[in-house]
Amino acid sequence: MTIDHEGKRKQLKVIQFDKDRNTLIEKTEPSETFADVGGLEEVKKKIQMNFILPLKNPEFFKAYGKEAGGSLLLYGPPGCGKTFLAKAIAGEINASFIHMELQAILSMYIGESEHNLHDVFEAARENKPCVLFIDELDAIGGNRQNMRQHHERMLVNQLLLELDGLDAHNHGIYVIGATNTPWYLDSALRRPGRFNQLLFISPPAVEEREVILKLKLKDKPQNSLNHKKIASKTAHFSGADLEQLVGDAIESALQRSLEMGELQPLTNNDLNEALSRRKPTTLEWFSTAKNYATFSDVNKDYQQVLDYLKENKIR
Amino acid sequence: MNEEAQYAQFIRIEQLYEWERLEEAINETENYIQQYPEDADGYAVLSKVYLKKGDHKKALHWSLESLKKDPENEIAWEFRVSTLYTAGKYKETMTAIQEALTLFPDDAFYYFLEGNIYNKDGKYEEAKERFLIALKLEPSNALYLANYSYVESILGNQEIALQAEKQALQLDSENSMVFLYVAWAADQRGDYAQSLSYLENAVRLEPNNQQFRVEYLEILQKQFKVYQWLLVPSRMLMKVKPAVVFLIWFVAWMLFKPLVVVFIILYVAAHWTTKMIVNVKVFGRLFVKV
Repeated sequence: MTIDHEGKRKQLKVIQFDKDRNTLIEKTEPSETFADVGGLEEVKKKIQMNFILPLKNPEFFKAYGKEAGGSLLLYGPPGCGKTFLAKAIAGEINASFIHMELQAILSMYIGESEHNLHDVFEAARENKPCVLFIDELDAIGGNRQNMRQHHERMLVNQLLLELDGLDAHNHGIYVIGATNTPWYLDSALRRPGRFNQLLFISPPAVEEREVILKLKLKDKPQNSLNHKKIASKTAHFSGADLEQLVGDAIESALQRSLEMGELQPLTNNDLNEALSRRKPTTLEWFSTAKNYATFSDVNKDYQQVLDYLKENKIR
Repeated sequence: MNEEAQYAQFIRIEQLYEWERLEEAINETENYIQQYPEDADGYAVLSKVYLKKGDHKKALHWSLESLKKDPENEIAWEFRVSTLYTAGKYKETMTAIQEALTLFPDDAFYYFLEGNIYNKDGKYEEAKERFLIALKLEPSNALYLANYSYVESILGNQEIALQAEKQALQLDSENSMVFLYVAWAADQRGDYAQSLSYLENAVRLEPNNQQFRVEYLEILQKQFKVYQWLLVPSRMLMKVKPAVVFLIWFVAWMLFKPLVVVFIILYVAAHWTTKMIVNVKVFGRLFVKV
């Protein structure tokens, strides 16, 4: 594994569960760090405090009874970079990265899903330090009242068992859950020591949108695109929305090229036209989140959402 | 093996439905229908998902498709009737209920819906009778008990209403609809504090339900004494027939015109003032679209 001058790995070891082969597979990807994550300063600060600094200054944290490791829950509208952020945390602390998706570990055979879940946690223990990223956590640890099937409860219980092992065997394992619907999470998963730290991952701000657009449009044939202007017109767009927008614009440039018989560069007009046909998908999420934050948030878990709505004048 | 896979897919649809991931549930159900086109349950479940999504037209279409495959499909009948009811087509609902009852005469759900329609029409005695049939068939159904409590409360039988309310909550204290109906029962007897507490639970359990949000905000308004006093006449008038209500208003207007005008002005002023206070308290703004 290559190490750069700051002592950070250039390659990230990524482990995933392969459903077809029913086993864990390993690959390497270019390592990302916080420097690659645009914006989200408050979120990065909180992660630094809870995840990264305890590793760098263990004596301070030990004196106050805090140890490295633990769990974190990222929530927010879909397509806003939760996975990317989790990977950047792994890159930042030179850890391996396990990406666990519900679809991959779920098996129709009773008991096997729990077995798969246990295997993933075991792999994390073998690859310390390790960031174990659980995508779509609500699908595994959804509200148990809604779970009528016994085997679904078994999977939640297994997850609780693995998480409770964080103290005993999971030192150096950083479990990061991600969900678009934190309000559906089983309350047992939200108790201290489990996913009790919630971080809201908001849609990208205008500067971040400009960076994303530049990145998505890089190396494409183009004619003096005004990234800044397009970014300013895409308020509330998620990263995934921006990708779709660029995809639409590319499609019309490509179609024009085919009609003209020569390569036509992508223009501001292509992007503007694509923009007129797309709406930010995050607004639907915010309308649901607003209801939960206003009427159902006894512990004030979603205050960040209400603050964001106010700051960004989303009604 | 194939049956197991079919069952697993069905369970997955149910899961997505419970988590309100309705687009995914629709995709999954469409896949299911493609794989098992002869299974009427697939079409019926699609109707159920579209009903939850609020697309009544598609819900009705798919329930009909299911009934074409199997005219006695229980799920299809349940969601056909439920869709008609939710869409406010009460006359058609009543006809569909009668048809469903010929197939499933012991299904309490249809008596319960009939009771609800009578309730909406102000036919409280008929509603009570239907709720009693539903409860005879399913004595431990908290939702039926809550509805029964509401209608008894309207009929002025507060003791019976309170007993049913208590029983309903003992049976199910996690059901937002149960909380809604017992809140209405409490509201009916003028116990606004109790009604607020019930609606708080309902909206906490299901904040995405617009009706719960609206009713919760309304009950917050009713916590103001001035507004409570001004609501007394309307609460009393609710118990009499619409024609009688019209007659009372007419007579009052002829005899005490200035008083009626003052009452209307006071009522409107109290309504809007309390509404704005509640909006500021809950949302931090004067005017809000809930």
